[in-house]
Order: sequence, then C-alpha cells, then structure tokens
Amino acid sequence: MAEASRSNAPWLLSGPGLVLFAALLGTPLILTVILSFYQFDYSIGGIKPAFSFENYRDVLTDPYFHKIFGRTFGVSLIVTVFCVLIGAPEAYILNRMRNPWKSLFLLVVIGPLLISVIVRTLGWALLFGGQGGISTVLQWLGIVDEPVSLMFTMTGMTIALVHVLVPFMVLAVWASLQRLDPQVEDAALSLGASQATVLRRIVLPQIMPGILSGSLIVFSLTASAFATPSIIGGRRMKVVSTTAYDEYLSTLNWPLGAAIAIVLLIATAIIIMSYNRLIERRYARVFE
Amino acid sequence: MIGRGSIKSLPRSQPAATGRSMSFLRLKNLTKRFGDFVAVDDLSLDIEKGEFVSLLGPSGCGKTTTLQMIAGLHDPSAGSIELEGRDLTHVPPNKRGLGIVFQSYALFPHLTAFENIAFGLEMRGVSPGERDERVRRALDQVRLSAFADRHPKALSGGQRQRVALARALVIEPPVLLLDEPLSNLDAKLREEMQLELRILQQNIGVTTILVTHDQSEALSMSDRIVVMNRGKAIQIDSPLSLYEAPGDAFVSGFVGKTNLMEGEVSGPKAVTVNGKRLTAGHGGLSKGTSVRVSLRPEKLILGKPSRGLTGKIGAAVFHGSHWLYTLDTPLGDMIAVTPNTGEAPWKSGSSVSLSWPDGALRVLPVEAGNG
Repeated sequence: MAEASRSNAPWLLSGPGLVLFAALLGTPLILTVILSFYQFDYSIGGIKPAFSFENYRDVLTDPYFHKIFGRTFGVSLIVTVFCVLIGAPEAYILNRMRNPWKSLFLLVVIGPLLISVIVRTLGWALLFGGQGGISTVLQWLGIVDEPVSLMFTMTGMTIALVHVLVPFMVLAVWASLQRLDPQVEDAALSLGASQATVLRRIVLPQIMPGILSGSLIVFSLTASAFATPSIIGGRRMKVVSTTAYDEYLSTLNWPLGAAIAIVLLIATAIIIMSYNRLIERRYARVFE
Repeated sequence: MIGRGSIKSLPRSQPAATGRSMSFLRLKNLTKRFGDFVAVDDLSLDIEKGEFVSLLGPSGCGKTTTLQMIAGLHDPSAGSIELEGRDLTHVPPNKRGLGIVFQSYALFPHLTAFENIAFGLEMRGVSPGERDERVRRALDQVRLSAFADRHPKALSGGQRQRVALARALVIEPPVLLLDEPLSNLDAKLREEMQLELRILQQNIGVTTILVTHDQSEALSMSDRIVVMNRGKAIQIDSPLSLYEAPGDAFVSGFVGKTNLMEGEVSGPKAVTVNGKRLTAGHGGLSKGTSVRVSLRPEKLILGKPSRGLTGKIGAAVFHGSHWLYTLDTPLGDMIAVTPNTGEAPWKSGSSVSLSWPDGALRVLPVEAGNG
C-alpha cells in the first residue's frame, strides 16, 4: 500500500503542471495541426473541414515559401553568429570585472530584457529611417551623400534581432564561465602559454557548451521571432512567422497559416535536436 | 619580544651574506599589501638548490600569497625575487618557467591526462617525438601510464593530483611550487602521497616550496620549515629543531601538540608554575619575568605514584600505536602520549607520578597578542 502510494507520488505531484501544459499548450497545438489539414474555399472565403495535404504541398513546393523559409533560417544563422561573436567576449570580460562593476554591467546587459521587444524595436525603427539617427550621422560624417534607410532590409532586421537576443547568449556563456576554475588559467600561464593561447586553448573549449546552448536559444528565438521582423522587415522582408500571421489575418486562409506554422515548428525542432545530439556526443565525455 | 633574537635563525638572510654565497632562490624583503592589509610583511628567505622548504601557517598568514608572488601571479608591493642571481620580480608568470601544482589541481578538463602533461612542452616548442617520450616518462614516474587517455573527470582525486604533479615536473622547472597539493585527499591517501612526493622530489632533486597549514605534512616532508603568522616569518628552521626548540608560544602550539603553562622565572635555572618550582634553562632571564613553559605530551613519563609530582588520569584514549591521556595535575590540565606496549593502560581516576627528561621543558617568551 505504502509502496504503491510512493510510486504514484511523482505523478500526483507533477499532475497539476501536466494538466495545465496539456490544456494551454497541447490543445491549441493539436487544434492547429487539425486545422492545417482543412481546406480554404476561395469562392466563398470560408473553411471546409477536410483531411487533405494540399496546404503542406503548397508550402513545400511553392518557390515563394521556399524563399521565405530560406530567409528565416538564413537570418537565424547570421543573428546566431553575431550573437556568438558579441556575446561570448562580452560575457568573458564581464566575468573578469570586479564588483561593483561586475553587477552593474551585468544589469546593463540584462536590463533591455525588462523593456518590451516592441518598444525596443520601435526604437530601432526611429534610428533606421531615412530621417533617422543613423542616416543623419552617416551624412554628417560624409560617408553617404543622401539619406539611407535600413528599414525593410536584411541588415536592419539583423541588427535589431542581434540587439534583442544577445543577452541570452551572454547569460548562457556566463553560466558556463561560472564553472571555470580560475586557477586553470593560472596553470596554463605557468606552463608558458601566452594570454591569447590561454583564451584559445583553455578558456574557449571550456565555455563551448555555453556558446552552443546559447546558439540554440538564439537560433530558435530568431526563427520564431515575430515583433522585430514585422516592424523592421515589414511586408517586404517577410519571414515565416509574419507570413503565417498574414495568412491568418489578411487572407483569412487559416488552414494555410496553420500549415506554415507547423512546418516551421517541425523544421526548427529537427535542426535543434540534431544540433543538440552533436553537442552531447562531443562534450558528454568531458563535462558533467 | 624578550629573547627572540637568539631563537630566530635567520643568519642566511642577513645583508652581510649577500654576494658571498649564491643562493639558488632568494626572496628579499618581500612585501605584499592589499589596500591597508599587509598580507606578506618583509619576508626574506634564501633557498638552496635541491632544498625542500615548507611555508607553514594558519590560513590567512600569507603563505599562499608568498607562493603566488614567486609564481608571478601576484606582483610584490616591495622586495625582490631572484633565481640563480637573475631578477624575477617583474617577469610575467609565463616567462618564469616554474612548475606549479595548485590546490584544486587546475587540470584542463577538456584534455586527457596525456594532453594535460604535454601542454607545457608544446608551449616550449618541444618536437612531437620528444614530447611524446617525455610525457610517457612523466606518466610512468607518477605510475599513471595506464590512464594516459582519460579525462580528469574520469580520474580519482589521487590520480588527478599525480597528473598535476607530472604536468609541473615534465617541463623540468628549476623550482617546483606546491600550493596545499594534498589538502583535498583523504587522510590515508595524503600520507601515502607525502611519502611518494618526498621520494620523487629527492630522486629528481628539484628545488621545492610547499605551502601547507598541516604541520605534520611540513614536518614529514621538508628540509626546512618557515613558520608564518600574520604575514611574517616567525621561525625558519629544520623540522627537528622547530619541534624541539620552538621559538615562541605560537610556533610551539602550531607545530605538534604541546602542554603550555603560564609561569615566571624564579631562579637561574628554575621557573615557577602554579606555585611549583621546576628546573628549566631559560637563557638567563631576570627573576620574575613572565614566561610560558612548553612540555611535549610524548616527553611526559607516567609512573607509579611516588613522592614527586603526581597527577590523576582523566580519560584514556586508544590510538592503536599509542595512548593519549588527559591528566589533572598541580601544574594544570595536561595531555600525555605513551607508546602502546600491549600492556593494560592506566585506568581513569588512578594516580600517576609525572616526570620528564632534562631539557624537555621549554621556556618561551610571552608575547603580546600571540595565542
């Protein structure tokens, strides 16, 4: 009797959470999957219950969608690379600082997360416009002759997304730096390594798991980002999430929007899971 | 401060000796201040080639800071460090070429034992062939040949310790610095490693500086011990003289166990403790001077009650090779250690006579602020 109640305990304890997840995450997801098999009737502008793969065929064969998916994962990759290049050194320098500077600058890095993404992105929109701050400064410096706008460009979208997502990279690398024994760096120095060699051969391999998991977070958040691409990228630089949004709200073709969302979900899950497998195989031997 | 000059043995660090005999490693008036806090205070020490010197003291006494200054990981606030007559004081750590074993071992977790040991040779541009051979030899020296391809995570504490040692020794450093290298090991392994480390050090003949707070470690391994307290070198001596002739109450209390009694000088060769007059040489202190009297527990001889000093056994604690007794005596509470001869011990509550060999009583100066 006691044995049975003990083996039930984990289920009972995690039960409320599971029910909540099933209700709030599972239900809409299942409904979206079902919806993605329905058909949209252009003549009456309504949705017909059905079980057809037509929406998926459209998404997977139409070059229009290929371009959007390509752009989405391309931007995700570029943003991830920039976040690594900026976030990893930033976390390392932050970690080498002494208090109170350390706490202060950590707050500066994480601070932007306290402000809504929409507000931050609208801030970038102000800077990116033809009459915006960046254009004005570039003209004043004589680098360009006429107003330049980064609105509705890949460059603008990338800059804004890197800004939004770099704190996640800093935090991931920061966490792996906490496990670094500072004496290990001293040991490498004492064995004759230069500062640069210590960074490359000793520090970098040890924070690699942090960089890789940070990349995972940044990549998936970029692939599913909506607010920044819709404000900076607009209709001209559509990504998957803004396309799905438009299908739902402009064309009212809900089944197609659902199919786009499901394809994005599956594609991202495949990329992340294979990447994760790679990391685990590579680093499980070395780190706990 | 009375009588310290005669006990402190610092002849080698006197300026007069400079220039005559070349010592191998010389620390001259080394000082380190962190803000207002003086971590190391005017430390001078000359170390001979091949010597094993321990820096011994409680935590916060400045021993690790001293080691880190020798290693180049801290810049001294004043003073200098010379190796074979070459000034090392401001040479960066990666140009000093010293071997260091850290308290946490500081192995590179992403490299195998082999790669860990090879790292220093690689940095020195040793050819891959020679590197391979020297690493194999070093692994053999610390009996880890079978574990060359393991990552530190897959090694036991003792094995990690030996990899760290091999990594420091393979570069054939002029000086080996050990920062509490054995403190993370359990007691039995620690004793084994002490012996192993000492034998290895003597075979290689590498000049070694060990930082430790464990007096038995310092006593069993060193040629000379520097006892440090509050940033200062209190006494520099061989383990035997340090134990037998501690310079003050701090050293006496820190190195080995001792019975420490308050008393005063009452004659040319006598002191009084708790009204009892005891024979003890004190180097001609004037009558009435307050002193401390130290008596090592193993020097105390217990016998059948007789007319002399008698005490009462409190507890008898068995340690296998010896018995430890607590005693209630006219001089105060004391402890005594007697070898286990296989006979029944003294019973708790029984009376015993107390005696000790001539010279076993050490008279120490009383110092303000010292424990």
